[in-house]
Amino acid sequence: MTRWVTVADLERCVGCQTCTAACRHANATSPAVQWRKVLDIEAGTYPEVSRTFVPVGCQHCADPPCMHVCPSSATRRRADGIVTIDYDICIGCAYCDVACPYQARFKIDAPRFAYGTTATRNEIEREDPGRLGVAQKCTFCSDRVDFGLANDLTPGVDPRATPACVNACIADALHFGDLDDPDSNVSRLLREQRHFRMHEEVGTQPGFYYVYAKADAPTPPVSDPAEEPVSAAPGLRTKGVEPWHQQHWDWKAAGNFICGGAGSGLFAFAAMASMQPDAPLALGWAALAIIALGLFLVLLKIGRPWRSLHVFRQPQRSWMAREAWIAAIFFPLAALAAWLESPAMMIPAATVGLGFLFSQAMILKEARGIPAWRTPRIVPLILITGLAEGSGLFLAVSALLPSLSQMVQMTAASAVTLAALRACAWRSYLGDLTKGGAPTRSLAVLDALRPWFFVLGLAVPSMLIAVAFLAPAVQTPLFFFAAIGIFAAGVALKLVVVTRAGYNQGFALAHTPVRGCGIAGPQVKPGWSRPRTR
Amino acid sequence: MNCGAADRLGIRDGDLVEVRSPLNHTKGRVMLCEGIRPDTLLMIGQFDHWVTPFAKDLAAPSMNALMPMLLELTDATGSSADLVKVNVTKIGGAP
Repeated sequence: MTRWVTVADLERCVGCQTCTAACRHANATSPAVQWRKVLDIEAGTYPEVSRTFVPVGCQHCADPPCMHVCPSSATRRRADGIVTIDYDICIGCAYCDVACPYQARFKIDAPRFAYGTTATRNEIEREDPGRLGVAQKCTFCSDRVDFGLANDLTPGVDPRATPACVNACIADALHFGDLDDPDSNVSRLLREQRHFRMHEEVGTQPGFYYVYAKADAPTPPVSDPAEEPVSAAPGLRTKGVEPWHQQHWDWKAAGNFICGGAGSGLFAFAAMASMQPDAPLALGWAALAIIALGLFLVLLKIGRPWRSLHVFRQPQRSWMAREAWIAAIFFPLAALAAWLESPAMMIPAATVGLGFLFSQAMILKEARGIPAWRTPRIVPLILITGLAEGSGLFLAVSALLPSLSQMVQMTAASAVTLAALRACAWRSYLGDLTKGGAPTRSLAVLDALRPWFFVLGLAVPSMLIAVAFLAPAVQTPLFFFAAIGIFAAGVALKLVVVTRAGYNQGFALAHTPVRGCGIAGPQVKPGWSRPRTR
Repeated sequence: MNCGAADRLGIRDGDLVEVRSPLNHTKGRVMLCEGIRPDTLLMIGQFDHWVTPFAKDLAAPSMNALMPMLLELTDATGSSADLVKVNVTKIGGAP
């Protein structure tokens, strides 16, 4: 077997960015895109200063989250470990972008040129429209590797068979080779040197190793993430290293989570109400329209809307494809149930609708590049929030429609119960994030939401509903405004979680390199809160 | 520019500064770091791009604007370092 990997020697890299330039040249990438780049971390104060340069890019993981989430099967992993993207299949949903913990993926929708609006002749000749609106990333120069193998050359040894960045390295810091061959250049290096892989804790098993000290060097201090002052190290200059906000999932993506939750929740309540005589079945149609609106918003967001049917291609792995399949079952079933006004069909349809809601929760959980989304506690939070939003909408309608007046008190009681459960799920979600450690800016955004969420989403609605039970004469407006509060808090929650708290993983080093003599330095993980242990 | 030196001059990261040599002046945005002598500025834009069709008007500070390219001042490796005494004044905040 073959496993192609790259090894970056942190003791040798001088941060010249020649690899970056060589990659740009070899792959004709846009100025908005850097498949290979080099981070610059400076520590200490003058004159005791150290700098560490860290080449980053696609890590060609053995367990790549980008591939697992890809709904279209565009992202695949070859038997030799190279993770590939088929530009002709990709729909440009950018799910892989938020699933990658290494910020290795890019998507641009329009050509960009190095010097303003005018393209150079070289740029005109090499512009590839097939790469617009789809995901792109480092390919490990698979074309060069394949050329080499076809011509009996050894990748990593013969430059014609080796990635451009490795060829270009002036400091012999980048190496490429076969990890499964014990005699290969990279296997030998990894035997002779201490090394780590980035973000091991995420479990992606990258094919990218960082060498930081000789194997016989003194043992570096053990980095305990709870002990090391990783974020507040004095004089640490880490521009571009700490987490930044994900770029691709905007309010339209949040809109799908909002509409999907509110719609499937509302449909569940409409199904229960359908067992009552003369219940307004138009509610079922309204719920369907809300869900459809959410999916339509997504269609506006993706890079290649005309290929959107490719979303169905990969249900065996991707929760986004599963979401599409469940929607494809739910819509006809629910429409038929609403059309026939049949309670016996509304209930199974509502169950499928809850499956849709569950798939949305799983979509966020599987986005392993965003720490505030990937926690398992997001699943109950999204599920309960969807039901609470649905109950809010249903209560608002029940308060206004005489035909539902018999149910309104029961609806109010269940809405307030769901709001309380949602507050518990939110608390447990935030507690889990704080305990496990998260990007500090994600935590700041969520902390700022916390009081509003409590007041608007639970305290005020509970009070209004309590008063309404005591004073039935004014219950209509009280129930209505309580319902709006419960609904709006759910909307705000998802909008903030998706579009404001979605900071990515950033970059981190398990050790800083020796650089000459001495021992390797501690862990560097800027922009993260410390996990709270015990 | 060195962080400590900038702090003493009231200059922060990203501020717009004017750099003046005995002959001429240029301006640019400050990038701070610790790994540079406090009495030294480093200017990357060594050759001004005033003719090249694409690279001009990049708003990068230029050594050419501060001093002419004099053979007497050019080192043996071919101008890997052009040096001149300057003063530096803050003229605007970070964008």
